Amino acid sequence: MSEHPIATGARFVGKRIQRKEDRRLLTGRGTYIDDVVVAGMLHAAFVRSNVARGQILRLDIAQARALPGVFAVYIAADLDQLGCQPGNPVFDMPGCPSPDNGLLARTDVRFVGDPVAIVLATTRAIAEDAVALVEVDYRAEAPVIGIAAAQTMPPVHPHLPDNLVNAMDSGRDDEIDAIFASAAHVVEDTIRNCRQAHMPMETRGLVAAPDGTGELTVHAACQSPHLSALHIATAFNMNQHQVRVIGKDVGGGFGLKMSPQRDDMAVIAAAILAGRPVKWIEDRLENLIAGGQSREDQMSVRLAFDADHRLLAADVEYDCDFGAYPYATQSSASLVTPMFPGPYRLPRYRWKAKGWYTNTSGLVPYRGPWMLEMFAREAMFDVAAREMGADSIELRRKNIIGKPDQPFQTAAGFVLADISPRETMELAVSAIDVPAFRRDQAHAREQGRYLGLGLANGIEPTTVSFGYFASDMAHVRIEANGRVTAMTTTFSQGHGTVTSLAQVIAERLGVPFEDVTVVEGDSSQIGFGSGAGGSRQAVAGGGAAIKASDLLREKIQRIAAHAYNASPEAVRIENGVITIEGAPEVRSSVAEIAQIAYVAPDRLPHDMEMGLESQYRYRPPPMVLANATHACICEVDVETGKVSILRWVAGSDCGELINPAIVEGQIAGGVVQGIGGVLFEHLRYDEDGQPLAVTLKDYLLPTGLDVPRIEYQHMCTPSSTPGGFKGVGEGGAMISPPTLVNAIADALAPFGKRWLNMPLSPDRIVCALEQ
Amino acid sequence: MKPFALDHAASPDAALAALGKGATAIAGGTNLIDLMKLQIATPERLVSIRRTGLDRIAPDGDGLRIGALVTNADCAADPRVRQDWPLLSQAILAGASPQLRNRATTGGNLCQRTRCGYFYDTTQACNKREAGSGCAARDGFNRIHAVLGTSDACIATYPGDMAVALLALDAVVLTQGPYGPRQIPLAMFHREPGDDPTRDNVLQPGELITAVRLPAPTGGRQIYRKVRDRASYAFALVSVAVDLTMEEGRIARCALAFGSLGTVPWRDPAVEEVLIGQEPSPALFARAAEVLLHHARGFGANDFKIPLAARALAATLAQATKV
Ligand SMILES: Cc1cc2nc3c(=O)[nH]c(=O)nc-3n(C[C@H](O)[C@H](O)[C@H](O)COP(=O)(O)OP(=O)(O)OC[C@H]3O[C@@H](n4cnc5c(N)ncnc54)[C@H](O)[C@@H]3O)c2cc1C
Ligand code: SF4
Repeated sequence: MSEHPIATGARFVGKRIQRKEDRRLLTGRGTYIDDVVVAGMLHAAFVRSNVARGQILRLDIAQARALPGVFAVYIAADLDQLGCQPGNPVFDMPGCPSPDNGLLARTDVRFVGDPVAIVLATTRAIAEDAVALVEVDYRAEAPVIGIAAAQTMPPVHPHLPDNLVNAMDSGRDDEIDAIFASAAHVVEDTIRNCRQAHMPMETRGLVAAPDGTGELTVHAACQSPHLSALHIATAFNMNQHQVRVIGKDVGGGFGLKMSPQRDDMAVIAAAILAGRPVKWIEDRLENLIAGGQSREDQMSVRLAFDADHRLLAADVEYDCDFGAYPYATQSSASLVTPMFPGPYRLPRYRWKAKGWYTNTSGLVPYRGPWMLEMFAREAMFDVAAREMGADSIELRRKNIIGKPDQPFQTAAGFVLADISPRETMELAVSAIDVPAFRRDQAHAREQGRYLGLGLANGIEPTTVSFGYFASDMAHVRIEANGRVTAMTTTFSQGHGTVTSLAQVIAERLGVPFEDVTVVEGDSSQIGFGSGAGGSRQAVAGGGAAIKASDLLREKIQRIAAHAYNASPEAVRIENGVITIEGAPEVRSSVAEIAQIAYVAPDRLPHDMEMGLESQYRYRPPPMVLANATHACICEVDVETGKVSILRWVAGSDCGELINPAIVEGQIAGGVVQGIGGVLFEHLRYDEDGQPLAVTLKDYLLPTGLDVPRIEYQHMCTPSSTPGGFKGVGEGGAMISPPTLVNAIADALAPFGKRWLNMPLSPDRIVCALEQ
Repeated sequence: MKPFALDHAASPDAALAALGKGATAIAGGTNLIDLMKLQIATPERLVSIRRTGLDRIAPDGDGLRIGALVTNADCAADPRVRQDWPLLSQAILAGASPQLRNRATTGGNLCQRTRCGYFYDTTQACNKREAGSGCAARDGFNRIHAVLGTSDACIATYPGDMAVALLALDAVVLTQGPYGPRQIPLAMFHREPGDDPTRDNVLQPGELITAVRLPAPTGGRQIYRKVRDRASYAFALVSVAVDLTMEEGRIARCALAFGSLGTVPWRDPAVEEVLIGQEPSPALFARAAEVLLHHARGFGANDFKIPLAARALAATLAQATKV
C-alpha cells in the first residue's frame, strides 16, 4: 500500500498508539491558562459595550478605581500611549481597509462586547465588581446588522467610505451567459449559513508577565507560540527575542486562537503599563459575545447542466459578514470561491466574493473557514438532481474526477493530484448499501416515517503553505543516554502531535517509541514555525520530523560504521539496537553511539562534528489535497420537526495515516461541529445588534445523544511528501453540513420544499411543513 | 455574585424560623446560584434546607408523598414512581442532565424561574425582574415564550417538565408557613403573570414547600412527550403530558397537561371534555387542538409553537390511544 517503505526499525506509523498526553490530561494534571500562577499576578476584566453602535458620551472610572483591591482601570487613552498596532501581520491583506480603533474603544463603540476599559485587580471577582462600578453613557445609533444592511448603511468604521472589507471576482466572462442561456437545465438558489462560535472548552486567555529588562513572557491559550510571539512583537514594536510565548495545554482552538486578538493585546498592554503580570481568562459570556464568530455567510449559486446532466457552468456570488473587528482583513474564507469547483469537471466558472463590516463581533476563521463552498455545491447538486429527476449519486458519478483523471486542472486553476474523490464516493456508497436503504425508505414512508440519505464529496486543501506558513521545523537530538528529545514548531490544542510526531521519529530513527519525547509550545525554543492552522501539522511537522530524523540516522550509521569498521549502508538500527549486516558478532546500541558522540570524540570519524543532533526546516508543497465522501441516514419526525441521525459513514483519503485513532478523532470532532451547525448552533443577533445567544443554554451544542457512531472507511493515496501524509483537521467540519442537509432534504422530499438555510431546528422544519 | 451569609437548617422548623427572618431557601442551588451569579437574585442570607429531613418518599394512603428535598434523580428512579406514576419519571428524565438531576430537588424544581433571556440580562427591560420596567421580549426575540396565559406585562413560560406531569397527575403541593400548613393543588400553584409577573407562584413570604402528594394511581397509559432543539439537556419548546384510559375503543378518562406553551404549566378541562367518551381519530385530535389553542397568541418568533403544539398533541394522543 505504502509507497514510502522505511528502511529501518519497527513500524510505528499507522498504529493506533495510545496518546502520550492522555493519562496526564485525563487525570487532571494539564496546565491550562487558569492553572498558571505567576508571583504578583493581577487579574483583568473588561468593561464592554452593551450597545452595538454609539458614541461614548461619558466614561467615569472613579468609583471603580477606588474599590479596594483594584490596581488600575485603563481606558483607551492609557493604552494608546504604547502605540500598539494590533493589525494582523500574517493575514491582513495589503491595501484592504482596516478598522482604526485602538485596543479599547476611543470615542465610539462598534459592537456589543466592544472593550471600553480594562480593570486590573487582585482577584477576578474584585475586577468584575469594579467593572460594574464603571459608568458609561452612550448615544446609541442604528447598528449595521447583517450583510444586506452592510451594503446600504453608513460605515461601521467612520473613517472608511463604506462597509466593504474586500471584493474579488473572476473577471468578465460574457460567454458564460450564453452557456446558461442555452443550457438544458439551470438550477439556482441561495444558501445561507448561520453564525457560529468556535466554542473551545477553554476560552481565550493569557498571562502576560513583563519583566524589568523589557522582556515579556506570555502564557497563552494559543495555536502557535511562535506565530503569537511574532504578532505580539510586531504589534508592540519589540525585538523577537524580547517576547517569549509559552503554551502548555490548550483546551481547543479551532481557529479562535490562531493569533492574539485585540482583547489579548489590551491585556498585554495593560500588563506593560502596570509593570505587573496580568491574567485574563475570558468567561463564557465574553467568549460568546466578543470571542469571534464565523459562518455568517451566504452564497448564491447557479448551475447549468446539459441534457445528459453533465455540468456546463457555475456562476456564484459569495458574501461574508466580517463583524466589526475581524481577525484580519483577509480570511481563509477567501478560499470559498476558488474551492467551489471541488472534485468535479466544471468547464466554465464565474464568481464574485465580498466581505462586509457589521456592528457585530469579528470574524475569526473557524475549522474549515471556506466550508460554504462544499456546503453550497453539494446541497445544490441534490437540489439539481431532484429538479432534473436524476438520482443524486448518479449525477455526481457523471461529473466527478477519479484517480485516472489526474492531474486535473479545475476551473479555478487548482491542479488536482493524488486524490481519490470517485473512489471514496464508491466506498461510501457501498458501505451504505443504497438499494437496501431505498427499500427501507419506501417502506417507512408507507408508515408515515420519513428517512433520508445524504451524501457529499469534498476536497480539503491542507497545509496551504504561503508566507509565514511556508515552513516548519524540527530539532531532534539523541541525548547522551540514548533517549530522544525532539523540539518541533507544531503545537497541539488536542491534536496529539507529541504522539504522532514521536511515532514518526521513532520509526525513522529505529528507536523504541517510549524513548522519544516531543517538546513543543515555547517560542523561545528552536526557530519560527506556524503551529496549528490550516490542517498542516502532520504534513509540515511530519515532514520536518522525517527529514531531521533521517539526518540523524545517517550520522548514527556513520559513527557506527567508523567504530565497527563497516560501511554506513551495512548499519541497521532497530528498536535502539545496532547491528551490522555481515558481522553478526557486533551488537551495539543507539545509547552507545550517543556516548561516543558526546564524550569520545576520538572514536568519531575525524571530520565529524560532535554530538548527536539535527535540525531541519521543511518546506511542504504549496498545498496538499485530501478528500472525503460522507454519507448519512437520518429520520425526520414530521410531527415535531426533530431530526435523528441513524447512520454516518465517513469515507476519507488522507494519505498515510500516522495514528488512525488520532485521525478518526479529528474527523469525528469536525463532524460533530458540523452537525451542531446544521441543527442547533446559532449566534443570533436581534435588529438592535444585541447578541441573543449568551449562555450555553441559548447556544446549543450537540450532546452525545445527538451524534451518531461514525463508521470510518479509510483509503490511502499517499501525497508526494516524504511520509505520504495529508492533513485531516478541517474536512469533517466542512463535509458534514451538506451530508446532513442532503439527508434531511431527501427525507422531506415528498413535501417538495427546499431546506437550505441553517439551522434546521424543529421550529423551522415545522413552520416549513405547515406552509 | 454579591457576598452572602449561609446557614444550614437541621429541621423544617429551623428552616421556617430562618425564612421568617427574611432568609432565602436554597435547596439544590441549581437555579438560585445561577441567578445569584448574574445578580438577578441578590439575597443577603441563605438558609440551606438540604438537611431538614424532607428528603423521603413515603406512601400516603393510596398515593405517595414526595418530600420537597427528594432529588429529581431519586424521584425518577423510585420503583413506586416508575411503576404507578411513570409519567412523572419520564418528565423528570426528559429534563436537565444527570448531574443537575442529582442535585435539583422537587421543591426547587417547582420554583425554578423562567428561562426568558431578557430576564437574565440586567441591561434589558423586564417586568418580572424589575416591576414596571417593561417587557423586552414582547417585541424582541421570543422564540421560547408562551402563547397561552400571557399578559401585557409578561409572556414568559414556566420552563420545567416535572410540574407538567404533576399537573396531569392531580398532585398537591404541601407547605408550611407563618400561617400554618396549606395544601395547594398543582393547578393553583403557579400564577399567570397578570399585572404582577414578579411572583411566579402563590407561595407567601416565609412559606416552605415540604412535600408533593400524588393521589392514587389511575392505571392509565402515561406518556410525556417533549419537543426540544436537541436530544437532551434542553428545555422544551413544547411538551405534552397525557394520562389516559381506553374502554371499548373509546377514551374513558383523560388528563392532559402542556409545558412551555403557557406562562404556567397548562391544563384545560375543555380539551379533556372534547376527548372523553369519543373514539380516537385524527379529526378528534385536531378538534382537541383547536379547543386548546383557540385563545393562543404568538408574538412573532414563537408563532411556531401553535402548530407545533397541535402536532405534538395529535402525535401523543395517537400514541396513547393506539391499541
Ligand atoms: C442547564 C440547566 C438545564 C435545565 N434543564 C431543565 C429541563 O430541561 N427541565 C426542567 O424541568 N428543569 C431544568 N432545569 C432546571 C432544574 O431542574 C432546576 O434548576 C432545579 O429543579 C431547581 O431545583 P434546586 O433544588 O436546585 O433549586 P434551588 O436553585 O435551590 O432553588 C430554586 C428556587 O426555589 C426555592 N426553593 C427551593 N426549595 C424550596 C422549598 N422547599 N420551598 C420553597 N422554596 C424553595 C429557592 O428559594 C429558589 O428560589 C435545568 C437547569 C439548568 C441549570
Ligand atoms: S417575558 Fe416576562 S420575563 Fe421576559 S422580559 Fe418580558 S417580563 Fe421579563
